[in-house]
Amino acid sequence: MHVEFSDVIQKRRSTRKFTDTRISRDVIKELIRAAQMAPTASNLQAWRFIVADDLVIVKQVCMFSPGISGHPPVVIAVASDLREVEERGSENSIRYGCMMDAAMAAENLMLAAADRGLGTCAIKSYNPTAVKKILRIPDYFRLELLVTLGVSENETAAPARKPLEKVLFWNSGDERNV
Amino acid sequence: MCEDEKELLAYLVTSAAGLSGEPAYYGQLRLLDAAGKYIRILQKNGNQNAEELEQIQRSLLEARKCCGKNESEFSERMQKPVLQLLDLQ
Ligand SMILES: Cc1cc2nc3c(=O)[nH]c(=O)nc-3n(C[C@H](O)[C@H](O)[C@H](O)COP(=O)(O)O)c2cc1C
Repeated sequence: MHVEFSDVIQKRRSTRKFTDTRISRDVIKELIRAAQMAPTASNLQAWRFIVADDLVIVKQVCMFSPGISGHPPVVIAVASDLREVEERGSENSIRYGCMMDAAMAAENLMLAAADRGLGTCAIKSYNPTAVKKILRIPDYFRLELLVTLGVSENETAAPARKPLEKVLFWNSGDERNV
Repeated sequence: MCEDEKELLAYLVTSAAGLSGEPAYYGQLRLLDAAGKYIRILQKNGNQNAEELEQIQRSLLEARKCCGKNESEFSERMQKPVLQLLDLQ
């Protein structure tokens, strides 16, 4: 089931309650492919996706991630391979580029999931030391964020967005010019 | 130690470890969720106050809805589970 793109953007909501439906690896691979199509600074593509779909491992990751709610069947860790960044990137890649690349890839992944009727949530409240150990993530991978994935148990309303006038400026960021 | 107890302990410790730098109300959220997890453990263990605990759980969830959004409303809603706890035998 695919949805119109504009609907997908509206439909993507942070899911904090999942059913125990398993997600096939074929579907997960499609989502990672969508993530790979996101832009990266200098086309570095230094992100790595560590997918936990073994329920014992997923449970452990959740246990050490206070920001994860609702028992997701899959957790995807998005990390940057700093070895590659050091070889091919720049100081700015380490400072902010990789983090932005990871965020853009994660958004692609979440939209692709929404397109398939799946729920996700970006997660930054986790214990990086524990998660890296559980997922055996090497030291030279910097963990950027986690994304939970599964079938949403319920539809949640979008948290209100600020009025457009508050966030949109034409030609000048000077508020007096709005 | 059972799995749920370990989960609660890990939740408390990782919350303490990770809260610096987070918005202040995350502290309230973590405490509420920890209380919820503890209630579930008590219920699973066949606590004699199952019905009262369920009501407290519901009141906590009601208060949680305005946590970080409306402080005075949150404080007000939190009085209910406090009083329900007071009545707990
Ligand atoms: C970088 C980042 C980190 C986030 N971390 C968490 C988290 O740890 N736990 C959580 O439940 N939601 C987390 N979220 C989800 C936001 O709370 C959510 O996107 C926001 O409330 C808007 O809701 P929506 O995604 O449904 O539009 C995070 C989002 C972003 C972008």
